[in-house]
Amino acid sequence: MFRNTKTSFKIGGLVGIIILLLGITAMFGVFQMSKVSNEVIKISEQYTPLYEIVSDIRFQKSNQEVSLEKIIRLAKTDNMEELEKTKEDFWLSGRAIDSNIERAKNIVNVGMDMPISGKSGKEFDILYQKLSNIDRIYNQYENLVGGIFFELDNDLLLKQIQITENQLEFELDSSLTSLSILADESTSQIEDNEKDSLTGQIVIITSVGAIAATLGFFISQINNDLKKEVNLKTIELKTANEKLKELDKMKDEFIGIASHELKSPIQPILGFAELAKSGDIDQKEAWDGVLELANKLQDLANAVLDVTRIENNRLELQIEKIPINDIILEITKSQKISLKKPIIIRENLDENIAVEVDRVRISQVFRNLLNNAIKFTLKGTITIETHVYQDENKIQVRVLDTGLGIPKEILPRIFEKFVTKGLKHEEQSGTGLGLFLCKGIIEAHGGKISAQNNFDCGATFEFTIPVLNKGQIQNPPELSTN
Amino acid sequence: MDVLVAEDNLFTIQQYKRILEKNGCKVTVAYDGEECMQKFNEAYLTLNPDSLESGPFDVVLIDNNMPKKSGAEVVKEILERCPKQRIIFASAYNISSILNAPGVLKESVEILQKPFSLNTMICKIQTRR
Repeated sequence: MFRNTKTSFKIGGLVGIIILLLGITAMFGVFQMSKVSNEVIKISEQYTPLYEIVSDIRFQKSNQEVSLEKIIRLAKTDNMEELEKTKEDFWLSGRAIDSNIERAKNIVNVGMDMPISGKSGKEFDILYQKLSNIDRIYNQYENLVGGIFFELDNDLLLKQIQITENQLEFELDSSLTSLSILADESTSQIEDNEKDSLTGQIVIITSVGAIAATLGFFISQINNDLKKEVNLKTIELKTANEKLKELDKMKDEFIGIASHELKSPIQPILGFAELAKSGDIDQKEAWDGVLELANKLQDLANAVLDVTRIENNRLELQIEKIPINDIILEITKSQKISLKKPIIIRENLDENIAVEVDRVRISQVFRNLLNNAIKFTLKGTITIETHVYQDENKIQVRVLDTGLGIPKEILPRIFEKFVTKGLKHEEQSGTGLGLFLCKGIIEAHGGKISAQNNFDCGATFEFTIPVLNKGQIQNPPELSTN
Repeated sequence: MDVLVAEDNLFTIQQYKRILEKNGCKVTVAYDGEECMQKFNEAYLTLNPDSLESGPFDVVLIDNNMPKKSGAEVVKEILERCPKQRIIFASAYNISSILNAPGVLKESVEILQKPFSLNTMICKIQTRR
């Protein structure tokens, strides 16, 4: 679940990054375009009127030159009226020139204050310089002309006027040429800007495209991973489902067999009661039989409860330190007393070390193994062996018999529930749960149990448990369903 | 009446034997499925050719849950040899599940659900269908 969420986050994140990059590109493009078009407007707004104003100055200057020539010529005649009118024309043009210079300066001032990138900013400074020169030279010119009006035959003054005129001419031409060049340059600069912007956008779009393609590749990889994850989870779920079904079936089977086993003693108990009542058997025989069957029922009920505890990992162990040989000898002693078969029980025991175990449970295991050995041995020897492995902190207990041995077909499943049921006669039958419980108890102690047939005859059961449990007492591992 | 009884519980089979003999039956006992077939076959060999189909015993009382060979298997083998042999099938299992399982038991087989009273058993055996 967590991994799936993580993957969908990855996909969402990548898609988000792509959209973000595309958005940034689009915004950058729009910003560049608007910036370029603003510059175009601003610069074209400045250069065009400047060019017109300077042209007008030049035009007015030409008019003044014509007027001055006329004034000099008229001065030699007596046509005073015409002379005064021409002088007035001269000064009118002069005022137009002054006004134009002022306007031009104002425009250039505005241009200088504008935050225009590139060369244009510096060019406006140069233009202002030129206009100041024109202003200065023109003032000189006006002063000289003002002087000549009183001494029209002063050749020196005329020569100076001529020089000033030429200077002014030069400055005006130079300004017009500069303006023309600047207009061309600004156009080409705008074009360059547009090209740069376009190139930038192409680079960004290509980069974003490449990133998107890469991300797409990764997304498809992630998608594949996701598919694999889903498939894997589906298989896991199927397996878990099948296992659950199998466990459910096994549980049903266990309940079926257990309830059958619990029901079985009822028939002979009823029989004893019926026969005793009718006087067909004596009371003692009936009570003995009922008692034996009741004990069997109790054993079975206890075994079923233990199975449930083991399967639910709820087997509680009361650990205490007990000499292992004491447990073994106590059980073998009582078995020897009640033994009705020609069997010798022999103990071959190692050092009597104290082990940390649940006395009741380990006694239950050992008693079960010894009872099984007696049950399946008609005559011969049963040997109990112990081996202490101090270095490995473990002790091995073996029960060897010279009996019938374990049928091959059930040996691999000998520690499963009810496996031994139905394969033997009544005098050999138990609950069918004893070995299953032995395995559960030994594994709960952190040990191992196994069974094998001997080479000659009989079988050997052995279990190994830790001497000191060192906190390794554990719940029995999940019991095999095989 | 000649009765073959197959049952692995020692107490139960002794009780069957006692009550049947008390009611005048000749009782042959078997403690597992294989022994039951062995006893049946031994008796079968002594049959005269006219009564082969109806089998060597008046009644065969078989417990289902037996070592070595189950009651259902024994019933099948007996009926293959003697289709008219009268059989009473005793079981503590849910009888309906045995009856519902196709091919396990033939309809001719009579059923006794455990636990039952010994008198009920005697009545069933003595009552001819």
